[in-house]
Amino acid sequence: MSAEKQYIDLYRSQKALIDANSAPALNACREEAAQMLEREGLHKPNDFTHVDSEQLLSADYLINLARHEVPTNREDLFTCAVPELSTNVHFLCNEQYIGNTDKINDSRFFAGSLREFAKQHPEIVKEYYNRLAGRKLDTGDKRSSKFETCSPGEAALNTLLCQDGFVLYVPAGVEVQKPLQLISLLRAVDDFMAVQRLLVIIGDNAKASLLVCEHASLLPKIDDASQFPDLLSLQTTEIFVGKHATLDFYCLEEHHEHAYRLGQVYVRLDEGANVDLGEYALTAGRTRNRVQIELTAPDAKIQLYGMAALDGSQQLDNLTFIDHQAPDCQSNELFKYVLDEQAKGSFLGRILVRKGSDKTDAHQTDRNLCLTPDTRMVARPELEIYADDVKCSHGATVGQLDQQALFYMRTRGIPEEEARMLLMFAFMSDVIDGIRIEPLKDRLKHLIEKRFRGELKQQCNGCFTR
Amino acid sequence: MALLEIKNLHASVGGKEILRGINLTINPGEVHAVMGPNGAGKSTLSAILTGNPQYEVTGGEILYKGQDLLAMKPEQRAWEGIFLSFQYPVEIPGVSMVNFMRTAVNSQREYRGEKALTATEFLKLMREKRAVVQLDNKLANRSVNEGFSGGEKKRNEIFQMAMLEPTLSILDETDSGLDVDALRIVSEGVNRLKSAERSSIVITHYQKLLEYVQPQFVHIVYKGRIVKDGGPELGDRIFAEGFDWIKKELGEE
Repeated sequence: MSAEKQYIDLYRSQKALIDANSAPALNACREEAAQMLEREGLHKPNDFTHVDSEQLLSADYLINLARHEVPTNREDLFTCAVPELSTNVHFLCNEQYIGNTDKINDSRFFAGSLREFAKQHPEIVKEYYNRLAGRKLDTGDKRSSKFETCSPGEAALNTLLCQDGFVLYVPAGVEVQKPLQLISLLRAVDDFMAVQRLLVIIGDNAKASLLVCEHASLLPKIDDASQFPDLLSLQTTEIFVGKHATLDFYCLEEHHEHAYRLGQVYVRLDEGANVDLGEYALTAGRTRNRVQIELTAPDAKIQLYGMAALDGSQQLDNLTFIDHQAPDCQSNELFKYVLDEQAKGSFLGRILVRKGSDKTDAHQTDRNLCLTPDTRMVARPELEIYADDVKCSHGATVGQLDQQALFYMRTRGIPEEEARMLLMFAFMSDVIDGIRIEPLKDRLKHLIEKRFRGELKQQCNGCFTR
Repeated sequence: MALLEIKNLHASVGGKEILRGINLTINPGEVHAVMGPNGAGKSTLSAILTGNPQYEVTGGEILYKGQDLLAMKPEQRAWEGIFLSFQYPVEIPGVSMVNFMRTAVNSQREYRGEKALTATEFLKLMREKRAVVQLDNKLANRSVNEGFSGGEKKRNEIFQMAMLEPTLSILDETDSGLDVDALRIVSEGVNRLKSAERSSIVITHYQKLLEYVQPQFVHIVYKGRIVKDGGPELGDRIFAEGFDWIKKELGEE
């Protein structure tokens, strides 16, 4: 039986349980999702990526439909590598919202459980939830590439089983000064799939910053690494940014090798909206990020960053789609990978400039370092332009550390390892420099340095053992 | 004891033999000029002395302070006091001069069993040494050599030399591409570092630098060998007549 059929059967047989542990506004979307999943399926052949999502989704996982409480004490759960960024730290364990450390009760906006929000504000959820993830994007021209960056099937599976998650709702005109942090932890003793959902709504002229830290716990009682459970996180994130609103959204991943992540991020920008979106992977197991950005009205602006430092057998695919639907919009995309040992990466970046989107300013850069002959990197930049008066560019490179620079540094007495570290760090600097949350920028620089020195793994093992 | 003894050195790059038996001895405090037509092997010699992995030593040996130099990694040679002023200094985008230099200086100090310099001590040292070659503070805050003019790059080399205070410095065509003022500044920088313990190898095509640094010994490299040794008068004759008379002496043409 195909994987999608199994999930649909699961839904049909457990519908009452799923609905009972969720909210009506979320339940309302399930039937449509089942049809979408049946129609689209989960597997799309793709020669350019590494992560085998079909295999990941075909395996047997436990899914916590009955909403059994996960034994977690968030205070001493673990220390996130980006501590004390703000006073507002929210926790998500698997798909479940488990609370926050919010000391300031700011009622101007909502940050918290998706299930609770859907109960309290069904009208808002109805207006936004599944509006981006639940539809297939029509690219408007029959000559256009048939390649789909996002997977409607995976999104439909998420909607089908989603019961909780995280919401950030900032009404029009509200400026949230301090960055919010969401710590998302995968934790289970058996093979487990978390169906995670994020909904971010930033109203007209509003402003907010959100940092999502992705972790996966290692279990102290298991000594043999091959006995670690497989943890799959199926994530769908929908982001709406209103007229002249500003959002910084950064995701920092520190997954271990038994954690898999299939994530899709959908972003919709209204007139004059300004969004900074960053995906930073310090370590990964197997991850596929898909990002779809729609610039729907004039003067919208997106900065999209991606960074991955991979080694061992880690795999990370980034698929991005920036859709210029209106004139006078800007997009700037920068992705950088450093691959070591047998790591594999891919970057499939597509930019579409639709007919009439004149004065579009779109730039895409993807640069990659392969440190050993066993690493693999696939870069596929795609630029599709149907408007006449635009400024667009793309560039992709795959290379090695500059041997001349390495030798030059060594002749000054810098040890080879240190010189390599400095060069890798320098390579990553511009993708970090753009971050608009200053403390995060500093923290990330520190973490990257630790990562390249090989110190991060040890630290993470330490902080997860409690 | 000689500071450096090169004995019958053979080396090749990409399978092509460039050095075919170099012999050279340098004592503490001496300045040696190495001259020769393009392609003679001068830059290869400096690459071998600093351990450039692109070059392969196929024969001979080098003793530095009595130790086997060829067994040392490039960084260890630096810690032991060897410095090369590159003919073409390398740009390293994203690595700031300050970070680069601090790592270099402190690695050397660690090797010598000295305590790392504090940030304040280090910046003070930078300021002092920058003045030696009149290197702008602006440049010191930029990435290594990135966007530097040709002259600035060469001054930056001498600045690094002043920071590291090498025992044996090799200047590989440090004078090429410099205007008169820059040449004077660079030469003064080199002269300030002269002492009874420190030695230099100066590779050059031009008279001006030799007038400033005044080598006691001049060697002519041709086709991978030192074919003539002499004093300053040998340099003067090369500047006046070129290399043809040497080729004739060797029975060529």
